[in-house]
Amino acid sequence: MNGDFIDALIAAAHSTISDHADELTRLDQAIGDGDHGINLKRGFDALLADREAIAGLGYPEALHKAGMTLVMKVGGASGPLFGSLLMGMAKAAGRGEDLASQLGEGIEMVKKRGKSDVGAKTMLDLLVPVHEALAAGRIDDLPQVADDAVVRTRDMQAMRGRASFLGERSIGHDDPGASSARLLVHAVHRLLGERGIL
Amino acid sequence: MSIGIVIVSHSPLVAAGARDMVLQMVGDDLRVSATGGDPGGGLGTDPGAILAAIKEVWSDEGVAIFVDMGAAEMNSEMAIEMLEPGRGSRVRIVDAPVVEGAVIGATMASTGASLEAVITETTRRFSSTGTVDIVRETEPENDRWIRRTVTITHRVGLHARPAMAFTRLAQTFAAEIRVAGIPDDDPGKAATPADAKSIVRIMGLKLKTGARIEIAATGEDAREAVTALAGFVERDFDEGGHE
Repeated sequence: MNGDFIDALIAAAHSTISDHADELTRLDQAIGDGDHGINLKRGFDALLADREAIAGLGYPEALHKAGMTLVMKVGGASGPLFGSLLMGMAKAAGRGEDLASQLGEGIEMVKKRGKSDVGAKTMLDLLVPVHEALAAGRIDDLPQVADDAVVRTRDMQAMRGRASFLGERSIGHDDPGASSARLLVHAVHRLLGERGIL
Repeated sequence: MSIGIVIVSHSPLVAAGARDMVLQMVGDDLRVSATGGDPGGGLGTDPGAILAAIKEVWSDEGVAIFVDMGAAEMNSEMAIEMLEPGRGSRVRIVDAPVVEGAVIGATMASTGASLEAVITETTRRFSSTGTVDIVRETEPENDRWIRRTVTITHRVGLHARPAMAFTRLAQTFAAEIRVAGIPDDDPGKAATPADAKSIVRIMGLKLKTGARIEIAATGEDAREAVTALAGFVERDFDEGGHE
């Protein structure tokens, strides 16, 4: 994994979050506190500003640094959650494990940090099925798995975060965290395809 | 050294206001820091700022963090993990409403209470059902109890700073001392008493101005204790709070 690829990953992630920031914010206004897009954009802007330094690191260190940047810059709950995802992935990457195992360890960190699990209308409802597909080698299915996962969050009642205060009224809206995670899955999948890595 | 108190809110104004309340109600010599707002200046919390707030009030006895909601707790956890090795275990996030929790936590801290004691008391007081959980104690009943009834005239009642001064005075006596409010509708009978040496129990009685209380004590210096405490209440806790 070279610096150029890490640089391209950051640019792709930044671009999708930036392009969809308003949409994420609208989703969050429906059931959260309406700052998801703004917060994430601030974090990914910081990541982009720091891209040279991060791309100069080894892959596990770059993941960790990117995670820490999100933790420090995002501000909402999504900062510690996406940050923990990347820092968990960094741990497994440091042990030389494959992408599926990295994602698996990242997910464990998200569960621990958010004191949550699947079914609570959170980003985990997207990450877990994506991880299952990845681990099963269904690489081509990843974008579709992600799309379906977001749709499934629509019928769920939020159990964590501000949305949980709405109780049943949270049903009928896509989860913002799952939606932003979906964008990142698409961006990474597209980049891997373009680079002929998949 | 007393423990440090950190107040974390999504709003910088709430955090600063809660800190003001603590300093005015409990004393301005406490180690209390406050932080609020996200790294972009909006509503939210900032792990870097929380880390700085912990360091600002660092005490080897420990630091208690009071948070308002959701991400404030998560970002506080991140900040704790960023502390130097060995320090994180001495910092705890307390499960209590931020303003009330910080006031009670700081009050206990000012009396030298340990981090564990602060956590136990504040958590018990604000249990997850949202009810105030005061452990009921049996009423003193035998003749060896010295009793006296007084009326609270201080304008804030037996609360905040007066409550702290009262419990501090009670702690100077060896006697077992209890305080009970006397219900208006049943003046003949004192309500369930609370330990006069526990700030949390005393504040839990929520005794307001005008309330009649019975102070009861048993033990070697029981008479001196009752006389001193009753006099203290009648003199508005020696701080001229009566209007």
